[in-house]
Amino acid sequence: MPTASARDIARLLVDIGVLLLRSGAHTERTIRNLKRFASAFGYEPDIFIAFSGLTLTVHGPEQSTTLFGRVAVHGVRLSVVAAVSQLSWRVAEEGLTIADIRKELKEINELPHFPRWITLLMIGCGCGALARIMGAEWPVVSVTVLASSLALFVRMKMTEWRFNTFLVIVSSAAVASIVGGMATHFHMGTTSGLAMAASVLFLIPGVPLINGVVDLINGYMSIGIARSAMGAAIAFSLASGMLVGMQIAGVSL
Amino acid sequence: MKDWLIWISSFAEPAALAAVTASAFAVLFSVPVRTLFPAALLGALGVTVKFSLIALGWSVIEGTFVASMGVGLCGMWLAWRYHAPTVVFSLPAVIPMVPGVYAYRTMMGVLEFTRVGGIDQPLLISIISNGLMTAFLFLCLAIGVALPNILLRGRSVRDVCVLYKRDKKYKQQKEN
Repeated sequence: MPTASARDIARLLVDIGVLLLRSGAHTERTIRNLKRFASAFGYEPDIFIAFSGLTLTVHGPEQSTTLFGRVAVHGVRLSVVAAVSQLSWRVAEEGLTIADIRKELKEINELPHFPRWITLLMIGCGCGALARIMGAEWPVVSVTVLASSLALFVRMKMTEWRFNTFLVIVSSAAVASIVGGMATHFHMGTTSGLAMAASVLFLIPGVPLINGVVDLINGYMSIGIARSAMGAAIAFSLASGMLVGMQIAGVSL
Repeated sequence: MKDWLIWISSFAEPAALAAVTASAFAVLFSVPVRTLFPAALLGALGVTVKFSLIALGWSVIEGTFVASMGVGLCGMWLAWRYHAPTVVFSLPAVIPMVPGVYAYRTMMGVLEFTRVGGIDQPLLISIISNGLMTAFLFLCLAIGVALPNILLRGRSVRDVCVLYKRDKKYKQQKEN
């Protein structure tokens, strides 16, 4: 038995879906969450999700509503995905109203990011640890730490200035391999190439590629192919950025 | 007994490093703070499984496949335990197993190949083998992270029968 108008439910579902897709949720998860929200109010929506937006129809007793929401950016904020998932369970269990859900969503949207310096420090240490796992010596590891933190800083700044996604990746990879190339330049032994290999690894398009595979597995072909193509394009930008960096640093092959 | 200790200590360093890497990428993906520690532990577990299987004589691809399957399964359990999506745990945890060196060698090989021109057979073979290694290792990781979707087919981990019953029992105990 529907407990709210189809139009209000459709508005709510579109907002939630856009929030999820912007934060890096895959198609199956988005649809599952939206259906859970809708079923709490007694509706069964039909949802179509594409790379650049989602369309859904909510069938009411008298009239149906179809709305479209645009997904402008594809970021990664897994805390938002987790929080929306928890909220979707609470709606049915605690009988939340639309106003309650809107209030919760506002809070979720304002969930704090990690402070910038913590992210820089952690990614520096993380890429250094990756270099060490691959077998680098400690001087090379320290160069990797420096290179990846600097490159992440460049990426954060350029994203803030709203540059093209691929240009950001190219520049960031170039900075990483210029600084990482110092290991080769100062002759830090046979493992010095690993500084370059490991310091760009934080740029790998893990989320688009894995979401692409997940979507393909679940049968959402068009968005799966779109996500995989996005991942491949990012990987290609990464490689060309490294090439530019190596040319600038003058590191021979 | 002593062999056992040496076995453990040889995996202690990569496991600790993997925990650092996993938590770093968890921060980059901005996961909820309460799930940082389990994600780091899961990363350490994955690398330990991979390296011990390789030490037992398995190939790199087999070891990575089994390790990422393990990460996917444990991620499903953690997802139920911490009430968070599986990807929050399994995605940072597979990052330490990313085939960075093979990808780097493939790229370097391709650059060298286009620079020298002509046919350099050993170089071509090394490009193909490194490229295939990169592709298959990445596919292994992707399948490991996608495991819940393959097994559950659009249902939540919470709906799984066994876990769900235990969840219910736990709730009843709390009410009583």
